[in-house]
Amino acid sequence: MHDIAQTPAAPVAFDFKRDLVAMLPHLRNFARSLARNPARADDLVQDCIVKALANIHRFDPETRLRPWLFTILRNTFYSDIRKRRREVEDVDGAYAARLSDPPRQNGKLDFEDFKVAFAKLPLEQREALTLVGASGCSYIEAASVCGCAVGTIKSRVNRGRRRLQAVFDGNDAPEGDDSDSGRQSGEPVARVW
Amino acid sequence: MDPRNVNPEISILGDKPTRDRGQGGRNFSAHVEYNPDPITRNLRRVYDEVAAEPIPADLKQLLDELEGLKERDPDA
Repeated sequence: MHDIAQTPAAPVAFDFKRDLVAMLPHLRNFARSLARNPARADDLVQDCIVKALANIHRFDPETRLRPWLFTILRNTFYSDIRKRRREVEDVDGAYAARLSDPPRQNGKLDFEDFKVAFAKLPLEQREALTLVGASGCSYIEAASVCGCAVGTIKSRVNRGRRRLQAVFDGNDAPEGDDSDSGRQSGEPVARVW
Repeated sequence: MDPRNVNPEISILGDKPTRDRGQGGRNFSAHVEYNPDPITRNLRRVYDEVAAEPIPADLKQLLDELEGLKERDPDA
């Protein structure tokens, strides 16, 4: 548990708590899409809040709180990954291997199956899909949170959706390079949200 | 221009409609609020599930401490 009293006191010019409480479900959902573990996700949210408060003087109230908090949370997660890479990143696919394959029921995927399929997506696609699809971020906001180009976010969303759609349709995931560099320059990205 | 209009200063078709460019797309949200596809619906359902869960005690305590900090700060 963090001691919030240890963070440097800064004048809070806006109702930080109110805005934070409103953002909490989005933060928890985003953290879960990254960490894939509810308890770990809540720890991430906690760290994010503490860091946000410590750096509140850097926040420009003219800008939006949402991408700022998402960015802090994401940076916290990736810092954590670097510290404990083996434990978190699932580089060897051990977590994905534990997930059972979703059963196909007349081409329909029920919600639990969707969650399993979503958890199997690469991290970069999970975060892009969550930001744009669930949290209502614009592509520009999502790109600023993820520190990449808008086209990259569109590409990640598109590839993630294609993978999920393939499971929906009862097909295997589409073949091909799943990395950002795998996309050919100039390849059109379907507008999906 | 309409060829029937002899006076180009006066439009017989009325004022040319102007497109409200708004913020130039800067605030464009990729969200589609109508008839979302199954993947979007499921992503939102995941969010709804998380939002419906009670806030964990640790987080609640943190928020309470935040409130206390704000009360101690007269500028807040």
